[in-house]
Amino acid sequence: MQWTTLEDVEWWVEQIMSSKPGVEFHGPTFLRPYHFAVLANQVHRLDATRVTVPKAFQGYASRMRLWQSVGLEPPNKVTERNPGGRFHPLSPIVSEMTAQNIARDILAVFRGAGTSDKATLNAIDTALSEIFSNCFFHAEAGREICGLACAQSWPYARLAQVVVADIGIGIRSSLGANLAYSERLKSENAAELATELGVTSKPAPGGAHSGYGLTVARQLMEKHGGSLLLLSGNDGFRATEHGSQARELRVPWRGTIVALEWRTDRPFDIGAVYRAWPKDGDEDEFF
Amino acid sequence: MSSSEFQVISDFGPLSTREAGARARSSVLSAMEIAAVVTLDFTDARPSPSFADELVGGLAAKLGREVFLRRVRIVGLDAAVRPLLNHVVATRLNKVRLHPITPLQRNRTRKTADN
Repeated sequence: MQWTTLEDVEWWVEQIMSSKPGVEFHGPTFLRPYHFAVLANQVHRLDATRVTVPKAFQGYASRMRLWQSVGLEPPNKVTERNPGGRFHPLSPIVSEMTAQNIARDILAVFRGAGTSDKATLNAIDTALSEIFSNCFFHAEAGREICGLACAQSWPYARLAQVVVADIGIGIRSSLGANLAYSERLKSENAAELATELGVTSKPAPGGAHSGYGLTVARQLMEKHGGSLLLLSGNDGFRATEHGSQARELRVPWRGTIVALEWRTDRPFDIGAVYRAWPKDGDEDEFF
Repeated sequence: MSSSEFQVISDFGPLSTREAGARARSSVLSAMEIAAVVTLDFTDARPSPSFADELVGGLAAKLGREVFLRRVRIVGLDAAVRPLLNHVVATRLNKVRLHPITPLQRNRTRKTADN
């Protein structure tokens, strides 16, 4: 099973952004969480009242709550299956608490898939809590639904993907509110900049954030053989243990898409991420 | 003056949100009104960076380095969590020292609070 690339998501964004409300959608032959998250967000953006997907995918899309997540009726009723160990359907983030609840529920997917190591589960929980909370605090979508998250695990391929996407102001606009980044934003990829430790649009003490979320997600994936994909506006970024790729996207996604993908047979150690953070010598050893 | 102790995992959980971290900080500051020393026992606690930043980093920023180190005891730290707490405290103390709130930020904060 192939890893999702920046080009894959970019292609999908192009398809979705060029679609019109009510027009039948023709997708790829294999769907992943990012397909659903991007499509549902676009339906939400357009306030579309009808979405048609190929018949072969209707059952799967309905189980992933493609229609239900944005307040539409699915085209046909499907038998609900226990998703434990396989997937978590599209879920709207409307508060910090719902963000945490979705993270907790997605964690159950990985418990169901056989991940029992406490440190690994804690690391996944931490990364998901942080990126889902980011969506709530920073998306500024101007709607009750701040963003949509979903997940899928493929036990035979030992791969998992979690996505959160929104139709908010995007990373560039968000970071642009912090004058400290004005110069860097003129020449740098905003998505990559947002993964830097301490980069936030709402810094303490005036704001209340410290720029940990995307850093933790990126470094956790880099250190443990996973991948972070980040698309926002025209800024595209992907980080893996083999290196990173930042480039301008052909078609902008008005909002932000964050996708984490990782091998489920490799343990995570979030302490390795924290230990790698820079410090000013012994003066920073308080405990 | 007495001392006070919190079991972080049971007294403040879940340890993932900023909101929960801010609530925990308020509880600790209230306890400090009557206790000379407050102990935070992190046994089995794996806080998120946001929670740790709000609780421990926020306490350091509010109290200042000297008072924080004298009156807040942190025990039971897991090896994975220790570097996180060191980082949030160092960052918050450096921010307070190096980046005092500017008049522009203060006005923005007031406007946000007014809304």
